[in-house]
Amino acid sequence: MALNLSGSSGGDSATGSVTLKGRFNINLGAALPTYDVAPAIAYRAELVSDKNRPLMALICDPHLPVRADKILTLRTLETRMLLKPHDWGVSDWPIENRRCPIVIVDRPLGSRVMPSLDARMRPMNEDLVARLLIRPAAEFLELIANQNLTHRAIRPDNVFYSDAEQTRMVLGDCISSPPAIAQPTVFETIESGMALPAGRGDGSSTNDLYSLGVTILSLLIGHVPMAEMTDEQIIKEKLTHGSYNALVGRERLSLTMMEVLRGLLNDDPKERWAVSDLMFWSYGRRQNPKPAAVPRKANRPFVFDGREYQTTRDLSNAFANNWDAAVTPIKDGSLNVWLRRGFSDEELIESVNEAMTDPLGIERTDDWLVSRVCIALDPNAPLRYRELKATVEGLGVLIGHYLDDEGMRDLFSKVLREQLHGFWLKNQRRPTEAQEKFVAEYDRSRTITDRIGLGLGIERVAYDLNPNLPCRSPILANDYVVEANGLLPALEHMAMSGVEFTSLVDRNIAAFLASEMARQVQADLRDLDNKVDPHVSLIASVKILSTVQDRVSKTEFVDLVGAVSTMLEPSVKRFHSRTVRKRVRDRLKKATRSGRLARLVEAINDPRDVAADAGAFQQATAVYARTVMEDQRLEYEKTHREYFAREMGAQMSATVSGVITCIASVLIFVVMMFF
Amino acid sequence: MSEEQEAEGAARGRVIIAWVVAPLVCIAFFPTILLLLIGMAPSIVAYIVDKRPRKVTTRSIGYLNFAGCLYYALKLWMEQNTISGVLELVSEPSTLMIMYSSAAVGWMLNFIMVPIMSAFLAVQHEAKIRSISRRQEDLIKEWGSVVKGQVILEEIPAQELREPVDSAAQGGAFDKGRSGSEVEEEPEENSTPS
Repeated sequence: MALNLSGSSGGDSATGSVTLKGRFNINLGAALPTYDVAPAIAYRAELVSDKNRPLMALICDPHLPVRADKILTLRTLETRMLLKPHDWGVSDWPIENRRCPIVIVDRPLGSRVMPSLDARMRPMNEDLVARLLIRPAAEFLELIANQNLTHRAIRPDNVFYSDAEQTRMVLGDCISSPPAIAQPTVFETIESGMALPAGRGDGSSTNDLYSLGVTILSLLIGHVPMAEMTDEQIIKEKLTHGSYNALVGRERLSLTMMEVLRGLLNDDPKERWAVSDLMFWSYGRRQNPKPAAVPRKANRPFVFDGREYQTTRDLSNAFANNWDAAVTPIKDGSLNVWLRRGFSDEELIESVNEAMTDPLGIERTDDWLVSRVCIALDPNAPLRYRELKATVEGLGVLIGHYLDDEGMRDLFSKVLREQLHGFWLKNQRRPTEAQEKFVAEYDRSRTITDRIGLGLGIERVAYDLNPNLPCRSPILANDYVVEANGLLPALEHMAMSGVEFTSLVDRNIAAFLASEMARQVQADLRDLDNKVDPHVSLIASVKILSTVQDRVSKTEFVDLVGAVSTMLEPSVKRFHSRTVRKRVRDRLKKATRSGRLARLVEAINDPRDVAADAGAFQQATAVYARTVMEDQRLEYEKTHREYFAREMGAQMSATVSGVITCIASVLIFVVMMFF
Repeated sequence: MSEEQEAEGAARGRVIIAWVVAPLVCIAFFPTILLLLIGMAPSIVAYIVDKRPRKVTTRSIGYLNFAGCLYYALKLWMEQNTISGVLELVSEPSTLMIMYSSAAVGWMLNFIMVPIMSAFLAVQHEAKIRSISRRQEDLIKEWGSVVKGQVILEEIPAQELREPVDSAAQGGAFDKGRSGSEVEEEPEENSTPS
């Protein structure tokens, strides 16, 4: 992460303030470490028009996408159970010496309910938890579920007392980072916990309900359960004993609380309590949640890598964690034998056999085989392909997060190429509408992934799948651009600070813009790919930016245009005529003052000028060639001048003697006739 | 009937007329013909030794030689147009001297024209070179040195740069009279080994 979480505690040494959008002042010396929400850092903020309103600014990690598209909906929700986001924007952040996304949210007046996830505190009273957390949280979750939203950051250290008297609890921020990226594995369902933090996706309200269940349990027992375990151990425990048993263990809880926790921590999403169940419970209607279904065990264990496994889910998880060793039992048939002898489930056996056979008869890699077998053995688990582990909803978010990681890019493209998402969907008994939609999107992206042109490839897929993903171009390394209309102001800002551009549109910016406005920039992206003539490529990049300026930004950028004009200077030399060059330079100077990139393009890339110059240059070359030929002929005649003098002298003397003869003949006639 | 056949027929007709008319003319103007044969002996010799296709040396000698003979041919017609009249005329030393001297003037003209043309060509070459140089400088100034291109030397036929064969060495002192256009073509024509 780019931001140092401890930075806010040392931020007191900084002075001054930052203004966001002219509406909010953020005091650099007023860090609020007690309200940090990883990975964001909290600072005191005030509304310019109402300084008494308690607000704080969350300085977000600029490498992570902010869930900006959720802000408007969350702001308008009628709830007191969330630190509401008011606005967000990008501003200079002197402490990091770069520009960072900043989210303005309500500032709670009380402290965190649990100081940290490592802390141990006095167990909270059940009535208090039910009154301050469960009922309002149920109402809140119902509200956001109706809006197709999820919180995905419900954990004890992100729950605050909204007042100093501790009479009300409120959930902390959920938009300053991607969904569930900061959630410890223990607060996530088994499936979500198996995925990489960046690959968990938005999920559904059942994910929030599970997190709420673990949060309730943590408050009731005064500490986070399974805190001393590694993520792998937590998953293994939950798989072996079920989430409820693994988490509650030997803790002593009332029957009332056991009821709600059984409902919320059920590992079967279909059996897990829905928001309505929790609402009913909070209103006092007691229910008897179904106990978690015991996973079916084989008659005899399957020995893999020295350990015994009795359920397909356990084995699938073991295969995924020991990828290379999984190939042997799959290929030598021992897995098949175990499945046949251990389970009398023809559907499972058929599914695993299908996973091991390619319908097209193409010989596939071992990774393809292991990945499909893992899906067949545990259809609820996330997509797993070596180190890539993501839920079907989180696959797009994952590639956005790991866009600079060559290894992960390779794995992602293999997943799409080998259509593992399609196989995953095929293995689902009742896929949700959202899951089907995601799979359809990945199918569409598959054709783009392997294309190498600018504006295509994995970058394009990443931006298509992540509307909130900031442009990851190295050109914008110190900025945060999440929409096309933010690109030119960011470049203008760089131009104003004296940055010398080496290029204007790189692979990332091309993909970013293609994702936002493909139709308008497609033709210029092809020219941008021109490796033969660097001028064509540079002019195409200016044309792309001018399209952005004309279609989206619609303002003048004098400093940027000045910098681009300097970059275009070498392109003037593609004109051969010195006169034309001077004319084009004059036009560039005029265009620079206008602040419009389109003027620069017109000046440097007038088709009539280009054609006329090319034609005239061809003529000039031919003329020069003729002069050289004439010169050589003259040199030749000079060298052999005596010869040519003799020849021409003879010719001349014949002419002269002819003329003399004519005159003499006339005179002789005249003399002879008249004298 | 093709054009070639028509041309062949016309040429044959002219030959027949020449063989019929020439003897008649020779018979009718025999004294004059005899005078011209004696008086234009230098031109006849020049014609024999002049190897140039258009016989420019012969022409320069022949024209003036004819002018020298014309006065005596008219005199012959007006006084005694007989063979004895011819013999009487040629027996006078001054007659032959004038006729042959006029041929010598033609030869002298042919001789002195060479240094004159040499000087003229030198001046002309310098002027042309200056003009070409100026045009090239202007082109480079406007278009840069790339205007020189890569194809210049390829455009000049290699044959044009070959050494001309010295006509003096090949055709003797009289092998000199040719037109300017023929002069330029000379290197190509002589490109084959002699």
